[in-house]
Amino acid sequence: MTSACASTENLEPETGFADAIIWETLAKLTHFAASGEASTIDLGGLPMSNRDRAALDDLLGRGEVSATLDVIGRSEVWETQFAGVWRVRHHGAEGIATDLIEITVCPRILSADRRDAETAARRLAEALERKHGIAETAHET
Amino acid sequence: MKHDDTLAAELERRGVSRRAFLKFGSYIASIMALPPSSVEALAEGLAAARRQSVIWLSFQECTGCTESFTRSFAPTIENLIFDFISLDYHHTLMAVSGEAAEEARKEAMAANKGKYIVVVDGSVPIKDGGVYSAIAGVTNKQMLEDTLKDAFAVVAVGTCASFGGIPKANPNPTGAVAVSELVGGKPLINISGCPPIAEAMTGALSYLLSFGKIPELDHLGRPKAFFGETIHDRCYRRPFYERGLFADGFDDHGARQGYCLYKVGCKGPVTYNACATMKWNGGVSFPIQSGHGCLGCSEPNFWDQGGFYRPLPTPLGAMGPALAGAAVAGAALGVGAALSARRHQKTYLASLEKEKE
Amino acid sequence: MDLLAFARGPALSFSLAIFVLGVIWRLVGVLALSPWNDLSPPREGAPPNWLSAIQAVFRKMIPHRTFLTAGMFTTANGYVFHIGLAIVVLLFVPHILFIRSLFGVSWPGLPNGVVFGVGALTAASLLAALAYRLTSPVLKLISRPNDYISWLLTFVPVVTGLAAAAHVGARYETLLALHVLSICAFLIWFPFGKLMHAFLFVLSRGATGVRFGHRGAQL
Repeated sequence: MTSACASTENLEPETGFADAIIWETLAKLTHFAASGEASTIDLGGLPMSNRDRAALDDLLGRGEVSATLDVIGRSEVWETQFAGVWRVRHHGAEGIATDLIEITVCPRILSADRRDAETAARRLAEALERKHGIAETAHET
Repeated sequence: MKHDDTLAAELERRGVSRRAFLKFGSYIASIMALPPSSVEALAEGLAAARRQSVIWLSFQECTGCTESFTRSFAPTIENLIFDFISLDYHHTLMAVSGEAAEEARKEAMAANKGKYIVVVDGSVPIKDGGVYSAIAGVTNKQMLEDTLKDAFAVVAVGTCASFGGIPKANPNPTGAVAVSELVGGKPLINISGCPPIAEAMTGALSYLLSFGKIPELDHLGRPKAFFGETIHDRCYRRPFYERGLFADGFDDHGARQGYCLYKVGCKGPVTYNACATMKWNGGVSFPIQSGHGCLGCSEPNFWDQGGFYRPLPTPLGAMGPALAGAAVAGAALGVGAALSARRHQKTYLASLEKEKE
Repeated sequence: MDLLAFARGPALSFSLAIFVLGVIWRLVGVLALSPWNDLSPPREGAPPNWLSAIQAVFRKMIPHRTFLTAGMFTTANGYVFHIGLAIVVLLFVPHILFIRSLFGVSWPGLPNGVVFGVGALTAASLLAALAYRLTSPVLKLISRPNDYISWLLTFVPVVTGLAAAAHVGARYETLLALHVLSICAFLIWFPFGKLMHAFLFVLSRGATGVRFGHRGAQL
């Protein structure tokens, strides 16, 4: 990286977005605790600087669960130190493509889809058949 | 069993689960500022959609738009869109050429009658019967008209297709016009920019695929999600503008401090695009962050706004001769008026003298 | 051509040309009149004409003490919007860039927030001036369409400028175009209406000063 670029990095201001988002998270988390209604905060459209993002990560911290997904590129999901507050971050070609705070029981992306399960069951059955077939052939000889 | 040709089935055959749609849906919702609640609808819409036939027509253009749209080849979320479309004709990218290429276009048109999307980059020359640009002996105007007849929608990619762009700049020798002037009643989305931001294209196409309709557009036919706000409004240098801190040149103290580039001709305040938030090259930077003012490339006639380095508040065109002429004319009128007043005065005094006598 | 390009281009060129033509026409027309020859000898100890003229221009900036209290509002309010207009026109950075493009000279500007505050105060002061004109029996009697048009064409650029800066009412480029067009109207009207006082006040006060000074009268 050239020095010119480095200097623009240093100039990135802290805009106070992190605090604002924490307040919004608190409101949504309180609502979720009371009603069970999940919600999402999309950090993508906000003109957050890297410093803002770091400040937000610091404040929310990391909790008990973390997962890495490998679906058309890498994704990270972790529960923050506040139960029910999740961070979902999808990585794109050159950086973060989507950055979300999900206030929910478990982010939707972690759970398997039943229609995928249907295909999976078929595949598993096929695998089993193949295994038994191979085993039987082995037994006969 | 009937072959399942939905996008979900296609990805599944490649061992990719529906999580991909969810992920892509949240990506599209994020870049288009759709409510997070629309993610599932987007994902479901895409999963149930079929591969979209796209016919890409390149007219008076520089291929920069194609470059912008295709420059990333890693299998990532941003270009999953390439798995969702079937690019049936694109004379720069397709393997075949000549007769075979034109045949592919006609085949795709026949097979997807009323369902295919026409993407156009470049403006269309219409002067002298459109002779200034032709492909396979067919003028651009003719090819556009033929291809549009059975199209579902048109996407004008880039400022040339959206507004005429550089070919239409003064004196416009080829009579170049924007695609909008030739589409008749077909639904049209303009994705302007020179080049346009690839995400804007991805977003608009995905929306079209998921919901089967055109996203909300501004008065120039551009998706509001990407062209709803000015560069200036979302610029990280905006606070410097408000505080009156400006760069006066490209190598002065202000420039080094990263001050606002308004004085060196930045067109950010009147340019609607998503550069300031989406940035370029995967979020690395955008022109203002790299130290150059916005050229206003996503706006109509950006080439003829008096110069890229001319500050926004300055008048267009040369004022000197007009004002000098006005000054001379004013002085002549003034002298005439004064002389006439003097003559009146003289006659009046003479009449007074006469009365006295 | 869109509205902003029309405003920045032909409209601005035309109105600036009319402004220059009109102002020079009227100034030359006045200055080239027959020289004022008072054949009577000046009062003993009377100052030279040029000094009387200059003194009058400045002395008239504060009303005579006889009228000071009665005319306090008009004077104070007049100062508020005149100084306000000067600050907004001359110290807002985009305006300075406009002036630089015409004359090649520039100077530092003020932060936008300050200019915006001054602009709002100026608009309020102009409204107060209109209210006073409409309520004062004497002023109402002597007001002509010329006065109201001159007021309106001063007020509209201030309001459209504030709207453009605050970004309310319409898209920025539309507001900016309306602002520029309102300036165009102001420029075209300027030489032919009462706005011309911006130049003529010097000549009229000077002429009064010379006449009074010649007779040895105090202003």
